Amino acid sequence: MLRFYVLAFFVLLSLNGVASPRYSDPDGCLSCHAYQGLDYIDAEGVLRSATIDRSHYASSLHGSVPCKDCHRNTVDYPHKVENTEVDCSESCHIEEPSEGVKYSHDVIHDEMDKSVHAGGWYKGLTGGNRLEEIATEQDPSCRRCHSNTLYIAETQLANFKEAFDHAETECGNCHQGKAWMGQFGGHILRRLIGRRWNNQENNQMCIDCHGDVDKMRDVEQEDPDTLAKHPPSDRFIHSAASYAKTLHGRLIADGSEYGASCIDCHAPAGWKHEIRSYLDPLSASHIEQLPETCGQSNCHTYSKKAINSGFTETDMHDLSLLGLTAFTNPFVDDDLQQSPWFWSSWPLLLIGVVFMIGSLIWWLFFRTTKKILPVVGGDRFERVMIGRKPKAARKKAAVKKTLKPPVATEVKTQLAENGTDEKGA
Amino acid sequence: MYRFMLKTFTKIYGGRHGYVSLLVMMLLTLLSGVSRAESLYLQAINSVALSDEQLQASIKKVEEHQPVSLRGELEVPPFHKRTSVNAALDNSFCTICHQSPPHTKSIRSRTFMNMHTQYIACETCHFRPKNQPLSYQWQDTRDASVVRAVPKLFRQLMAQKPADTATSVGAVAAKNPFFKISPFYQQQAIALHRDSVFAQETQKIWQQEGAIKKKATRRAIIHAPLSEKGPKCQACHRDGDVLLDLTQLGATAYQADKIQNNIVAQFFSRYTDAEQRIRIMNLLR
Repeated sequence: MLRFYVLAFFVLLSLNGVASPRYSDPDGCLSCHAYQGLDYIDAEGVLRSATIDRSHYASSLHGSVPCKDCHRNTVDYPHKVENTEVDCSESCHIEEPSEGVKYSHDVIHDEMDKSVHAGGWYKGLTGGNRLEEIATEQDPSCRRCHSNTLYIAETQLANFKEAFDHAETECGNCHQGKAWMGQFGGHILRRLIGRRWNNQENNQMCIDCHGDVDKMRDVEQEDPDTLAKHPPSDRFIHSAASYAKTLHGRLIADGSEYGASCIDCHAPAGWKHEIRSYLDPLSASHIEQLPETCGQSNCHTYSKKAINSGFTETDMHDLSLLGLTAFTNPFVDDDLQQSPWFWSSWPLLLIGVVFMIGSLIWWLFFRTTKKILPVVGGDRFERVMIGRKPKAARKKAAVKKTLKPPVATEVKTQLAENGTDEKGA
Repeated sequence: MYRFMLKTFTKIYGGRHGYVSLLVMMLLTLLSGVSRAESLYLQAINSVALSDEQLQASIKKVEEHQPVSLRGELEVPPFHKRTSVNAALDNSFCTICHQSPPHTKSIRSRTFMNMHTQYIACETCHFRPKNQPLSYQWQDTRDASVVRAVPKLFRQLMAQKPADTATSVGAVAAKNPFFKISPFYQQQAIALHRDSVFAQETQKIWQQEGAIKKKATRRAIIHAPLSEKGPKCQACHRDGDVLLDLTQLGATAYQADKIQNNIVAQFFSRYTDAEQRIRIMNLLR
């Protein structure tokens, strides 16, 4: 209970700019590191800082983690650089609430190891080797994408405050024990208010690297089967730009909750870090996996049917999309010339024109004429839909009607002349 | 004006003595006028007589100088949240050449010394002439004006009483980062301002291509009155006779006590040589 409320208190205060109560620092690191301005510029021109914002750290994702759970071998002062190295895959002293298992990021490290980003640093991380990492490693490290941000993101703070107010009354109706609330309250509440990053933020993480064309040109790729190294294709280099032109990319850029993000296609399962090459049969973006990938989360569920497999062949990184903003002379475009859709559209267009002209002629000259044209099925329409007799039969009936004299007229004439009818009545 | 003064002095001192007295008075006035125009530091610079050895050493330093440019934000961001770096040292004469923050060499103390640049001017530690007593006051480094000494200028600790520490939720003072404790001599600021004539001349010399000897000479005379190493921590962080009179600088008794008995300064007092490492758990005992 205490831990839950201390966490909530720190989170609510962290954005209000007021000093917070002393944070528990079992190793005494903050005796020095809490001072502001502990900066210096190293020989490479990088500004280094040893200052830790106490209240921010207490409210961060790692706020419950003592310093030495990550910086395990820091025992002397001045610190030996090698002793301050961090290994993100090591376990820490935080225990998972349900079963008491010590928390660790090693499951994510396992996914990363199988992914195309396997070379990214996950251990040996210090404040001083960021430049070295940039210069020597093309794959992202853990810290490349993940900084120690607040436990409750600023965008979620309003929801958190509302949920926090009701936590005791809502959950506490059944879970009356303070021990349970203290152990599980923060854990559940954090997840109840929704995921940390929206699609835009997820995509931005990828675009930070993949949107840099020069950086992507320097990437060395490895064939998953032969392990041979090769330079990247233009399709890879411009993947961020081509995706941005698709409907998915535009929806997300526009802030819509719809649209498939990079991760939705490339690593939808597990911990979202197992991004494999699209040539890898186990990859979510492999051609054989696409029906399942596109059909996830009730999106394009019809793609799971074999008859709709053509849908999954839509290229989300088609280079021709990049020319859409400069659509000056489309008919000389090679892709257009080779497209079966382009050539099949011409006869369809011709037929369409014929129908339009025919409709125009009818409208101008024949719309007031009640004329049945058997040649275009008018006769059959009348017989089947309206139930009239065929034309020939109607003609015949009309002729009979004309030849037969009307009986009533003759009788009246005789009565008028003789006073009797032909029967003598 | 001259005739009036001559007549007055003649009346006071009589005859020939009047002329002499007037001359002495004018000379003294001129001298005092000159001394009021220049800070003690600038006077010291102007009176430096460089030896050949000093000049050669300075030439060597200039030739071996490798400028280090501060890099912008890196692609790999820092893991822990950083506060923004302010430009509070940008008005200092020293940072025309030196980086901000300036200290880089001592692994043990560079970050702590740079921390002090937030509220102590460079000259306070590095300009300590012998036999010339200096006073220290808060100064606004933007216009060299004196700032009234008040407790809120001591930004690190705001609690007034020990009992308040555990429950204090008072905001850290929104202290102006340009206010620094600066040295004064006879009520005149010692620190040179970046906009001063000497500073601007120095900048122009340093920006010239080549001109090694000229740069070296300038560099040598600037550093001659200064001490490379500042005072030890205990010069301020102890009871008794200290370099800075914290009470006079506006600190409350509680603030002064906390500063003078600062635990980190006590850590540092245990080191006996530059390369020594001490176990943290021993430091914290």
